[in-house]
Amino acid sequence: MAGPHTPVSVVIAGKDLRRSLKSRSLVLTAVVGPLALGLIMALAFGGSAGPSATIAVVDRDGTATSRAIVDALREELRGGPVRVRADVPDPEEAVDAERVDAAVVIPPGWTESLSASPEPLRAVRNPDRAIPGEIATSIAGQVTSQADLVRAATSTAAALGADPSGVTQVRPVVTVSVRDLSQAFNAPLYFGPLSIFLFLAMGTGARGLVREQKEGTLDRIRSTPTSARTIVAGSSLGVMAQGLVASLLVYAVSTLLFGAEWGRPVDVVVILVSFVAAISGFAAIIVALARTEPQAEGWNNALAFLFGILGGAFFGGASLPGLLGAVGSLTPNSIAMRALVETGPGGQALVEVWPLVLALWAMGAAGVVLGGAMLRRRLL
Amino acid sequence: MTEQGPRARVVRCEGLRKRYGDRVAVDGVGFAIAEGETYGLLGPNGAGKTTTISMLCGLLHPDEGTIEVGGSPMTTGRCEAKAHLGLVPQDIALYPDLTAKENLSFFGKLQGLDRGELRTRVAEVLELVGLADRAGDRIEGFSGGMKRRCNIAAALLHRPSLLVLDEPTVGVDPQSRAAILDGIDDLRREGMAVLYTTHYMEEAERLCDRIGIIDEGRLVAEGTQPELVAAVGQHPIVRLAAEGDLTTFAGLAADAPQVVRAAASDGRVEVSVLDPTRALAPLIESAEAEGLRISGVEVVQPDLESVFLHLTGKALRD
Amino acid sequence: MTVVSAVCAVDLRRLSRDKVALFFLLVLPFVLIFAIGAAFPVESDTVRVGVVAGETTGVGGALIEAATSSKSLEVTTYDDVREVVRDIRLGELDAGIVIPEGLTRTVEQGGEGEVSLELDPAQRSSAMLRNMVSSVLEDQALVLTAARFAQGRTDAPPQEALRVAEQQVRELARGQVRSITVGGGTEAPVSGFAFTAAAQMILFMFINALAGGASLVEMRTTGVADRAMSGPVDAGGLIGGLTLSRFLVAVFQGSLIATVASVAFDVDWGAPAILVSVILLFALVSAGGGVLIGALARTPDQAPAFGVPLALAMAALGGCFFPLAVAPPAMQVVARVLTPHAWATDALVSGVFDGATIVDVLVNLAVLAGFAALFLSLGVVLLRRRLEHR
Repeated sequence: MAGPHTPVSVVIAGKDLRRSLKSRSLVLTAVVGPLALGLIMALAFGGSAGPSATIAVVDRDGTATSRAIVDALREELRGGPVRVRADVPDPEEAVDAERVDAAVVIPPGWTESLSASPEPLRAVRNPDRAIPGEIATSIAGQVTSQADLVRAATSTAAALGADPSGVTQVRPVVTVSVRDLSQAFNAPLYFGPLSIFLFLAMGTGARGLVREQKEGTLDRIRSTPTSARTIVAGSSLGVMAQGLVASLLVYAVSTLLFGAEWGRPVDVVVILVSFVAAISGFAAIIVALARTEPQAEGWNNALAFLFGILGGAFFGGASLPGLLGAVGSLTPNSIAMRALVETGPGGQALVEVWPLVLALWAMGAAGVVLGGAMLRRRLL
Repeated sequence: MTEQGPRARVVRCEGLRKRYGDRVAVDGVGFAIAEGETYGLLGPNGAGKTTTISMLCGLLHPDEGTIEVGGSPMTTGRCEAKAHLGLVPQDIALYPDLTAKENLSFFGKLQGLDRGELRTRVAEVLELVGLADRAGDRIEGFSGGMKRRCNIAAALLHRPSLLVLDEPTVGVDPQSRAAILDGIDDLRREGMAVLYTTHYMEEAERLCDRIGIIDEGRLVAEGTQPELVAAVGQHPIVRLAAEGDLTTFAGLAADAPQVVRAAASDGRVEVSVLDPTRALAPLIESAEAEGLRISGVEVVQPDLESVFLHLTGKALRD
Repeated sequence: MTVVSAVCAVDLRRLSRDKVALFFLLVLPFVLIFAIGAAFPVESDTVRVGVVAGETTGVGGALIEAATSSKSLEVTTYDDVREVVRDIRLGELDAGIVIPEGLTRTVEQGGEGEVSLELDPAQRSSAMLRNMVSSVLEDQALVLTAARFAQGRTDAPPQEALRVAEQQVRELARGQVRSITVGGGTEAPVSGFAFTAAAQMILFMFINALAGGASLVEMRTTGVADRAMSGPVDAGGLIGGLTLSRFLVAVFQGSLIATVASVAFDVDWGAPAILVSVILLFALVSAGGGVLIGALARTPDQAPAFGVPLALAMAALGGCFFPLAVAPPAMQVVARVLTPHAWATDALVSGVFDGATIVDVLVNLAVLAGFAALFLSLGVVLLRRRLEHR
């Protein structure tokens, strides 16, 4: 692995990385954890395939108008994620028994009622099928809107002296199409948990020197012709390497296996590296300020979760309102999330978000340099 | 032992002083070790052994004094002196989750060994400590003795001119201990200087050419074992088990040349002598002349334990 | 019994001195409840909408006017759709409306104009937002459509057609959709403190119990267990004490969240019997989880290192981060098989939102008891083996 003249700091970093990979806790905590959480969230919110559902459409009206509506719906939704079934006699029973996810019912006398006070359409929903329930309500709403459109159009025409009888379809002038942004970009679902778990894992790495002092290996390293600066640099490099390996694995696996959308690869990698640098800085400062290793661990883990919550890790990267949001926007988690969002699909070029990237590096550099100096004075 | 004449000094330290607050941990310690020489540092717990070793190895900066290893001054920073040094810490200073080979490769790289050299040295050193067949096993799976051996191996990779061993045989089974002591003997024969601290008096007696006794931060005595014994007025004892008038014989023997004092007790006579090789024959002769029937003769060298007790008023293993 | 209580007391005393454990027990749950509660709007809130106006007159102008004058929308104007997308993703907007350039021309030429509504379902309750925003736009579209339809059939001037259409639409008795929920109860709203408090209670009871498994590993590996067992103490007493302390901590955690949510966030938990039985049973589940991880982990560090991600993943799957009902059916099945969380949150939510009584959630309680029995017996068997045969 190392050439004849590998810098000693790289040798030390390599040793730390090797140990953390061997212990498997890095991979379990910082790779499997975020991947599992991100995948669960991505699946829950539909993922790239969109929600799928089987909706029964039941025509109890039995008029030409209602039949036309059912046919039009089947035609419109054919081949999409929503399957329409028109052969369900008892929709309430079918939805309850979960043979279909939800149902739309055109009640008897519906066409007739349109001329005066329209009979409501029924959306039959099961509380355990919230999304299909929404879809059924939305389909019923579409049918109602179309009927309203016909009624508004014909009554307006009649008021102006025309005879619009027999009109069953009116093409709307303007339609509203919904664009689901999560399909083009769902990096926050993975980056949110990653930002927390990375902090936990890198904190463990940062405490390495304190542990080595206790275990005696630090004395052995120091008895070799290795300067204190090199030892601290090697340790910091090792912490960064661990963070980098974990975050790149999460990026790669979520993209390649789960179809996650993060944005342009170069931008994503630069932002992840910068975030890892920032977290290294915090982890180093914590280790330097804490008096004991358990204390450092406690501070580190508490901060990891606080940053995660304030930085929006638990709500798809969205910032919080008010003071919490203002404080949260200063966390490295929030800054990196913002950089990912800004450069996400259809977003800006990486160079345009340089202040964010610079801020992450500034946090990292300040923490590593300051923390490193303090640690060097204390341990070496 | 001195047949090659004066040998080069590998390590020299003078006037070492280290203070922690009001407490002076090390107070003016100085000694030198030549190549091929094993120097034992003996002292009760808290005497300043580990502080001295830490300063010597550049782990701790002395408040006063100078240290030179391999002709270069030792500092706590990165320095040439450290390249001459191999430290075997008291703890098993190895990574339990890495294999023996991975551990040795890592520390070898820190010593600046290049790739080819590293590979051969790791193999040689593992062979030397008898762990060649366990090279690929993790340290955490090793027995206590194997861990100790590997702990020593890690200090030998770069062929240091000074090997510093801090209590290297604590908690080791007798077999491994013997192997470790034999190994150190071999290294000394190859010309390595060894600084050795131990609680085990018999190890110091067996291994060390010279011994420094440290107590409350001061080096209270230094020398070869016979020198130390002589310096504190302890003499070898010739112990005769015999029948007859032992009291009269003791009175006679006390006036003989070479004899310091003599006393009879409980079927035997104990005679303190200057030099047992010269005192023994005349003693036996006169005993026979007095008509004693001798059933046993024993020469007891005064040991470091008694020297230590005499000098510090403390038992070594407290 | 004295052994059990002695071991339990020591474990609790150690916990009370662990500032970090206390932080995760006493502080973090409320930070999270407060943050999530604040982050998600309730139905009465206005929707923050960013509008990109490709045109400000004609059809587009009418739509913008409709949005701006709506009480339910808070409109901000943007120049670039990319900025709208960014601010939605950053949570600074709830939705975006993009009115294309030349919309009026398209409509005047008899075409169908399309207005785009930008939403991120991972961020907000998108169904609610979509309905709120669409209804505002569609009302306006209805007027425009009716006016054009009438124009095509009469020779009324456009202004006149529009005026009549507006009047007709105003007077129109609008079609309604009536939701019929089968399978009992009403649907849980997806926002507000109540759901969050219930979900975080379950999340934190379990996560802290798993993290607390570290103290079991410590006792196992530092020889304290050996020392205890060298006296007249068998493994059962030791395990009993450790399990009891995990259980008590989880009960404390659950009760604390329930109390604070009720006092500070005004959450009405519904039937007390449901709340109490879920807390007790889920505390048993959590204690079992803690003992299990305490038996499985090799070093004290491993318990939180494996336990925390595991607990978070189980919480996410079990509906503690979003209502499980929004998830695909297959995922709901998986969640119910793999996590006790799904059953616990479901029971709590039924109590809070549906006015369920304890009879309605008996199945949930039985399943929780089953999970508790499974985790506890597995944990105890493994731990006993670890303690007795090494």
